[in-house]
Amino acid sequence: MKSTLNRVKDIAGKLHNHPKVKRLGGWLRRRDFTLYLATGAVALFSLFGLAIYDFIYVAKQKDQQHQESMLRGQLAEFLLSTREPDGSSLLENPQEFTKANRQAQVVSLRRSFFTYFLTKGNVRSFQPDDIRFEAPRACSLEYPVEQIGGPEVQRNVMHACFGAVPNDPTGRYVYFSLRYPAPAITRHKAGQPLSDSDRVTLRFSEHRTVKLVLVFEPSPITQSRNRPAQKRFDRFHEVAGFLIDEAGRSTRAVQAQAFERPAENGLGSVTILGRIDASILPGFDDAEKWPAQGIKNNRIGVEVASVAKGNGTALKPYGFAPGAAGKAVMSLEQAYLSAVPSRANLAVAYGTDSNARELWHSNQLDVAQAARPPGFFQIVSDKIAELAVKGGNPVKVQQQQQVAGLPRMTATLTADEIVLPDIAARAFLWMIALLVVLLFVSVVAAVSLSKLDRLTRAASALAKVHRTRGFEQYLRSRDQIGTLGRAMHVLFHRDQNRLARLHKHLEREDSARKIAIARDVERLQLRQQTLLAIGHEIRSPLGNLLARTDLDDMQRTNLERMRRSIDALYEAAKIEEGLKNGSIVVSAMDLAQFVSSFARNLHADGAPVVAVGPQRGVMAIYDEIMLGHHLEHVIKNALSYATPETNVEIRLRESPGQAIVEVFNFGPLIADTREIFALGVSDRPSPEHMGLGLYAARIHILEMGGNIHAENREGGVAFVISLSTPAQGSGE
Amino acid sequence: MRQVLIVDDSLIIRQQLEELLKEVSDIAVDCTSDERSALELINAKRYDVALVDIELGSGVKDKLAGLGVTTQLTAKGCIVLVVSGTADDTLKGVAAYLSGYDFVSKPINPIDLINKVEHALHWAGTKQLKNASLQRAWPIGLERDALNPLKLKWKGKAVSLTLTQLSMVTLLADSAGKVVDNRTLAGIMKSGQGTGALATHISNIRKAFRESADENFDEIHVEPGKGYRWKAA
Repeated sequence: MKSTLNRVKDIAGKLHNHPKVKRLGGWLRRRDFTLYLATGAVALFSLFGLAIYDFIYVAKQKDQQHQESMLRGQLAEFLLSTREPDGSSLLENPQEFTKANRQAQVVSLRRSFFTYFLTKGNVRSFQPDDIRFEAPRACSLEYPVEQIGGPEVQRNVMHACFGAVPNDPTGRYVYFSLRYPAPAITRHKAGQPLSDSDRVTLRFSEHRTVKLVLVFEPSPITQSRNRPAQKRFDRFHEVAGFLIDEAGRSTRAVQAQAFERPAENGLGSVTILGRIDASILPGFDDAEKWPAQGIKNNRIGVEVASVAKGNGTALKPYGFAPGAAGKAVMSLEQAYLSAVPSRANLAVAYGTDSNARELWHSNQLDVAQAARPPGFFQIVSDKIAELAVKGGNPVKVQQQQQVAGLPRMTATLTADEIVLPDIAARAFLWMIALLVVLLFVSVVAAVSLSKLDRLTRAASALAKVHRTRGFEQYLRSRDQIGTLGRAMHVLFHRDQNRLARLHKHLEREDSARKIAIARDVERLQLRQQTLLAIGHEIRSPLGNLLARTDLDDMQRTNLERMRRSIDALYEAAKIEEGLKNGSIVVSAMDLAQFVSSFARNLHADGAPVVAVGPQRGVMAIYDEIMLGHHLEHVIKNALSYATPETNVEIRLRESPGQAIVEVFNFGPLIADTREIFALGVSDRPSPEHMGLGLYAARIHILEMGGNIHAENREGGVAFVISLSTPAQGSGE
Repeated sequence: MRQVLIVDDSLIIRQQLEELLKEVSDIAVDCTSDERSALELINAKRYDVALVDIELGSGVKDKLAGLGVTTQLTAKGCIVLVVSGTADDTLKGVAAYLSGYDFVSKPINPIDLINKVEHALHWAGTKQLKNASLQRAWPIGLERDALNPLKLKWKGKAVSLTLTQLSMVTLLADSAGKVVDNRTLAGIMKSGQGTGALATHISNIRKAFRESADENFDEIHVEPGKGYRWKAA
């Protein structure tokens, strides 16, 4: 493991130091801002794209699940709402029970709904209020009625149902049920005109019209000689039918009974349940299969007339004409519209396999598709979703239903392909819009970065090689980057001009200084040459004079004095000449070691000299030959003036940029610490002491870049030599 | 007997020099005042040491007349001591033509003169020259010129030194790696000059090596308070 790690480290190290990798690293570092932005943009786009994809995927998934669940519910509700309480279904006769609005016609019913409410068997206990009758909902049609007359207009409804039962074992009858609002019924008395009593006129129009007037009479069962008429039968009636084209007699073609339901406020209702012998109706054909199409083709109208007066005003008859459309109490259309608000395609078929025979399909209905929420944004969202997103598979649910006596049915509800749910489509629109904005921003950023990159390169060239090429494009530009480029260009030129002026100024100063220096050097050289020349012109004859043997003491003394002065001047000139000719050679050396060796060697010779301070490691710049000579001179002076029994100390210390050597002796102070460095000043003037020692020391030490001066201290005198130290990181 | 020639236009100086040279044993001295007679003498006799003034008169031609004399003398293997009050710059130019020379400045210091004459006679002696081939192992890079033992070479390049400087260098080279004390070195000067003059000589030696042969010459080190040392071989 360790060796693998080490190998990996080695490889990583080699890669890191590989020239190509280093070049690549440098290239990347120079473009770090662009790379960061590009990486951020790529990450943002990727994240956004992923978000959109995930959003769409999940939305569609969830929508599919939701749709399935919803469709199942809708299908179940539809199938339930098509079932009658008696177990029959609207789907048994989808052709006649589809439409919600249809005209009153004879429809096919699986079984008859006719019965006698009052029979001989239940006459004793019969109570009209106990009658519970509902006409088949599939057959019933509802018509709005307006009863004009009376204290106010009353709006109400009447129900009519006409049906026939195929293969009816009881015969060929048209069963009917009517329920309508009416005041208490005025019965018909035998022999009276029909118009003197309440009546219901049925009209059957096919190729001819048959008018059947129904009137109300007491039930014969209740008219017994042995039993008085009972009030409980006041609201129960036997219905007699009169064909209009026959006068006077009721026809046996109609058997019906009716009962009233009074209302506390307003009108009560009358319900008639009966059957009509189909042979009296237009379109009857005995030979045809029952119910004959001719019978079904009859357009039926109902008119209700009442002789009751409301506030003294007779109620106007009301009803509906043959062919008038009434609203079915129950229909496949209503069931579909109420159970399937999604308006998915609904197909009902017999059988469950691929050969199933279609029984009914919702496309028979003229219904609009479920509308999406209106609005401009929704329309746009849906359009974009259609363009951008691949639609999903239609959602389909199936359910089977078994109606007694009929083959098994399969109901299939199929929702149209939905690209995206409406909310998801809108969200998708805004996400796409955001993506477009991001794209735009990215393009703008890329263009700006490109411009910035050009400016960066131009600025780099400007800084490195002072090349202004590349800035011309910004001189005319007025955009932000152009302004920046122009500003840089101006600043650069301003800086260049300033530098040029400064350079000229420095050149002028330097030139002036050089001229001044040259002048000074010239003057100095002239002086030296003069001195040397004078020295020679005076010294030679002076030498000749001194060589004479006929001089008296005074003459000789004066000549000697002259010679000493000339020699001093001459020597001084030689010293300065020597400086010019490079007699001082400096280098960085260990001053501490030098000073401590000096003290040690002098001490070994018996001189009371001690070194104080560091013994090693203090570097300074000096000429060891000349420094050694001058230091020896100073030390010897110090020894000669030192108080007996005291040491001469050579003290070494450092200060910033300097190394300082002090030669201190206890003893008399110096009257003028500056004058002693002047030329020719000696405390012991003689041919050997021309007063050149300290003068030369000062000149030579100055030439080394240092300085020497004297200080009176408490109890003694210190000669302080300060020397430069090497710069940090240079020298020895 | 060793032959010494004095060439100076000043009678007093000639007399002074002649008088001083009486202190030196076993020499014969000839004097002359101008270039022509000097050359005649040089052609007639071989001299071991010559004291020559560069300026042999006040005329324009006489300013550097001594140069011609020194050239002839040097060609004949004579050690020349230049006696002059002239500036050193001029003498430097002279030195370039001389091998084994020294300066005696005016006014003449008698002790300095005698010491230098004796020094010159010492170098002019055949013994020193003969033994040149037996020189001790010197530091690498330093050698005598095979054609002229009074000339030194540093790293193959000739270095112009005065006799005093030559003696000092020889002493230091012979003791390479060891300190030669100031007293010993000052003894070469033999003029009673102090360590100041010694330091000046050593500095001038360094300058001569740097100017002639090696601008980075740094072989002579100071043992402060004691002497000087040539770096170890």
